[in-house]
Amino acid sequence: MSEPILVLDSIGKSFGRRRVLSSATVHASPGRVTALLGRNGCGKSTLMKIAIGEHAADHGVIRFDGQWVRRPRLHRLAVLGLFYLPERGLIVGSSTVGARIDAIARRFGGRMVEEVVARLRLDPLLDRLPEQLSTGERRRAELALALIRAPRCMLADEPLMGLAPRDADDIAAALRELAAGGCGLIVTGHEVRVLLDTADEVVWVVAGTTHALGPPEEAVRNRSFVRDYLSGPETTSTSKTAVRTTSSRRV
Amino acid sequence: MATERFHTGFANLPTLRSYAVRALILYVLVRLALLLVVASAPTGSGSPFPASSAATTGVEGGLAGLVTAVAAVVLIAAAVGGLLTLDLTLTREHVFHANLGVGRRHAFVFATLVAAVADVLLRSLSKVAW
Repeated sequence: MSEPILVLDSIGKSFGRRRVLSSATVHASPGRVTALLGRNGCGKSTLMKIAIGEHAADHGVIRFDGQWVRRPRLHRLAVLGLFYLPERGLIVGSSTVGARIDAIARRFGGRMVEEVVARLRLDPLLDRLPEQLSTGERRRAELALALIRAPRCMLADEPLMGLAPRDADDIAAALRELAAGGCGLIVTGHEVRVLLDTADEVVWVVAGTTHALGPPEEAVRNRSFVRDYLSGPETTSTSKTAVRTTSSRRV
Repeated sequence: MATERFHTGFANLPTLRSYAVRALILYVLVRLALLLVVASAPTGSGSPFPASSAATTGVEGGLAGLVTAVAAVVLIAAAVGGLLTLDLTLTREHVFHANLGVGRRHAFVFATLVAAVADVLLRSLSKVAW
């Protein structure tokens, strides 16, 4: 396996007296999708925000492209190939979707702009302002930015939250496409079926630390993970479905 | 390294252009607000705006006038830079710009420079008082 593009190693973070992360480790490897799963408030988003410098870690090491990053800053890492998709708020303000796409394409010499726009059904949305978009439309537009940017590493915080099934499938396909192009992705969320179907490996965040559970097929056989995160007969059956769909995708 | 930085800065020109437009709009608002404050403030003894500035005493070219003028430009420019950065942060637009390689500090410095240049030009062209 190739060297990880992004490494967050033994990260710790407290907010006041509340310790969110004690020792969390996660990697983004080229061509692979890592699903970062865990309950609400377990520190998934915090871990991502530490990677881009929005929060400062209390301890731990961050490496990007083999280099130690002492004080990570998104705008510096972006130039090196990182793309951060926040939970909300990538497309905001007074610029239209088309203007945002143009800005990314101009800045990074974006390829396949028309193809990406067509595939993600963005043609009728190009002249719209952010507040005129539905959640699904906004997410599709944000993923279009990522596809045009073609980053080396992407952190996507809850990219599937609140999406209709068709939109979720479009987003999942876009994530796989980015990975196929060599991008290393870390994706968070609670949409277990789609995420397990999309991911190559699963990292579980619990009690301030991380457990690398391996491929989704192995993750859903982990009793603690099933009991403490997936839990319940309904979700367990969902995870079995995920295993079946994952296997079928790989076959 | 320097070449890379220059290339990055050059590639960021479209983003910085949009900052320049917003900085100029903010500059006009800050300038108008200050003019209103000065116009409504009492003058003379006890005034927060004592009649010692270059514009009100005619000490043009004097050290006190120069210092006052420079301080005014710096304050206005910093206010504009701060307002733009605040706007980017509150609207969360800084995430998009950071993905383009432009940080909040870049925005602050650039907006400050634009406002400072605009203020110097306005002062030299129209003799507007602080």
